[in-house]
Amino acid sequence: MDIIFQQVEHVYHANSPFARRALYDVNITIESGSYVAIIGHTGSGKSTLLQHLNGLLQPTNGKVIVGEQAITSGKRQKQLKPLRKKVGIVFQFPEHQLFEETVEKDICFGPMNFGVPEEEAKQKARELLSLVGLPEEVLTKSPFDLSGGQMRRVAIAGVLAMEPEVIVLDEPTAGLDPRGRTEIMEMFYRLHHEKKLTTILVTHHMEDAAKYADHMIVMHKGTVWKTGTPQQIFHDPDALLQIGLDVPETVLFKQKLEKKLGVEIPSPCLTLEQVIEGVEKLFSRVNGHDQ
Amino acid sequence: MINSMIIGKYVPSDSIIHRMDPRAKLLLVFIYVFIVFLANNSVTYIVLTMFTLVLLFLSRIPIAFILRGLKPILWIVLVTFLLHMFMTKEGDLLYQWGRLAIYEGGIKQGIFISLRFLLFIMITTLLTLTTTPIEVTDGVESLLAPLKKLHVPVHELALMMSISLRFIPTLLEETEKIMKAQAARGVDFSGGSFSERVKAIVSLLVPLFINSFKRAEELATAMEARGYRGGEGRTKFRQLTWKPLDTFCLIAVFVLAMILFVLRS
Amino acid sequence: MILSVEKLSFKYPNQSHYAIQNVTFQVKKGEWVAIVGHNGSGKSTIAKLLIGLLKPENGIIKLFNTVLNEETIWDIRKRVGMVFQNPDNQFVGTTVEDDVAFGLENNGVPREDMIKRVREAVQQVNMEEFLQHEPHHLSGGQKQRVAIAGIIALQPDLIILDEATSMLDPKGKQEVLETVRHLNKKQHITVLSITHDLEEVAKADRVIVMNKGEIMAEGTPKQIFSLGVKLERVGLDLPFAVKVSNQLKQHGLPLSSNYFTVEELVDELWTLYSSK
Repeated sequence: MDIIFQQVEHVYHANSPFARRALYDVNITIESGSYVAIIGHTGSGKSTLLQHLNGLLQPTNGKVIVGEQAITSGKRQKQLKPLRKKVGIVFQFPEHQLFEETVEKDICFGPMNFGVPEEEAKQKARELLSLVGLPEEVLTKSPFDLSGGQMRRVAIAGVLAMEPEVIVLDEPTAGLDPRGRTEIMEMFYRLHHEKKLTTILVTHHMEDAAKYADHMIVMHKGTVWKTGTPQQIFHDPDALLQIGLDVPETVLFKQKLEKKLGVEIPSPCLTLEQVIEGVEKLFSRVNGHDQ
Repeated sequence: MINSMIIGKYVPSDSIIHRMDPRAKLLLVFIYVFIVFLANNSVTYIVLTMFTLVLLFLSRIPIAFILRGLKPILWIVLVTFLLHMFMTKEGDLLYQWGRLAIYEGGIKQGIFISLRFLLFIMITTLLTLTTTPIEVTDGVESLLAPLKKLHVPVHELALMMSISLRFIPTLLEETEKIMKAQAARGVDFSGGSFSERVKAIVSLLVPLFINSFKRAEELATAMEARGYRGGEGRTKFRQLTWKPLDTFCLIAVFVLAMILFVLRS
Repeated sequence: MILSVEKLSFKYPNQSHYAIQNVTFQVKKGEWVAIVGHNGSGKSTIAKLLIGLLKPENGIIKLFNTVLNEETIWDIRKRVGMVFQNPDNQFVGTTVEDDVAFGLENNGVPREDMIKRVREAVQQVNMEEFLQHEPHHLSGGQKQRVAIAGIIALQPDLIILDEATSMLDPKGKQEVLETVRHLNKKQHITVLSITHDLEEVAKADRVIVMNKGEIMAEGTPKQIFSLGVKLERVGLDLPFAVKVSNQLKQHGLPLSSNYFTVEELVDELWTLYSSK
């Protein structure tokens, strides 16, 4: 299920004195099964963009096509439910959406809204709980008796329980400690592969974008600034720094090392492993010459 | 949704009315509410309307803005007008259709009563359009200060009011966020059966309450850490200053009252 | 000594294990000390104990050489400022200036003095353009800077940051850390930051690592980061340069020590490379 944005524009409070254009001239294609990272700083239009993915917002101009369904400006969309089932969104601080008396009920809430029978939903809740790394006994607990990190996992399970084809993650690790962050990101990456999900990650963590994404969309001042593979995007770190974005430490390290040593490292150096590999090759080459 | 709540929205400006002490404005409105009832004939209503229009003019608030604020209550005014028109049977008979009869006195009475109602709304709208909510709070706190002697917790009430004002936009934002998150989980906030609607509202209200409680707890902690321990010994940063202009305005209202008293029939 | 904590223990009601157990440490004047630990390691409980929001079960807390107890608490609070995690839930005033003034009002500072101090404090955090702004028109980083201004206005001796940057975006985090660094270096205000953010740890003079309510290690950032895997095992992260140098060493590259910054590591690699 491909997602295509054609000339998408979004103006908040259109036709009022408070009108504010948050998005314009957005043309992107997100291929089915890909892992896409959307980066850009606060106010660049990222969160407006992601709300178009399941019709929470309608474009004020242009067209959003998700699989078979097209969302255009103008008339109110009626049939949004099938779309919302296909596209699950994990919002920032998703634990704020928990409300049921038990963890089990909360996880079942989404699927049951989409007509999944209770028994099946409960079965799914059990499966998902272990997937997000929680013990089964929390099923009967109130979500509000859990720690912040556990609540986050329950909320994520609640979105995954809808069995979406596309999963949108808006800063899913905000506020978590380093271990929690790695665990959550690794879990989504595993799911992405196992369930062939299309994953869309909105993040400030350039390391995560570099590590997991196949494709990146850089937003700046309400429109797409650049798209490409992480390698292409991080190929020119200075350009990113100029628009106020960070660059992964791996890329900065490579840049500094190349400059100091006066050589070029052929490895892309997006992940720690690639950096180690690149440096190793560099030194073994030298050793090779010596011998 | 939020934009339609324009009544009572502060419009920044530097007019004479804006610069008035909120206490003077509150007193003015308070007295005005009573003297509106003094008007009972054409002359008094004209005087009263003129006075109100002068205030509006001085506030430099665009008239369109005021009218927009009046829109939601227009039908109430209309109903009041019609009721009085048909129920009052005084003066010359102007028109009769079956049992419906319109008398001259009815029209007059209808106009008077609706005008009274309009003027009343206009003056209170003017207060909120030219005074920030926090100024109103400060004004109320200061005017009610004597009640502290009767152990009325005036400071606490004012603080509660100002904190509520501070958090209204935060809560509206949060409401929107939660609605979107639940909509993404398949909740339909605009339709569905009765039980679905109840469930939808529960899925919004529970998180909203829980988050608000958490906020309140954290806020209380932060306030305590910042040395808050009640109104005792506290100084105030925001200060109200009573200017000659304020005294003048109050005198003007009293003069108006006297004029109305003399001219009423 | 700004702060001294001796054999501190604390247990939340209805819980069997201690949130804080036998914790002892000191903070000297002008120091920047970081307390790190994963979520739930007890580090935030320490913050609450330090300004008397919770009462210890055992142990002594001394601030400015005065024992913290019910009689001294309000005087101590005047000298300690605390920035909390959620920028929204500590913003009391309806505008920036009102919020900065809140602490001054509580302490009965005369109004003329207050106006002056509010203005100075707001200038120090670079928010003077926003004096009349309402909180919902500010970014998270800006709100935290207002919180810091509210503290500076009280001319404190100690600032405690309780995960003050964990809800901010990278820009907001930089703004806040820059502001605090300035206060620490220029005004010699002592800083105690409770965090799991590497950058905050790296900026500190001294680091205390918490695990399961106890102190696991204490030292300079360099000493702490050389703990390597031990640190990762308690759920914390290592700086990038440390990770790279550790791995390169494992791969047999003869690096002479663990490197803390990328610059140092690059220099060493250059030395190695050119000597080959």
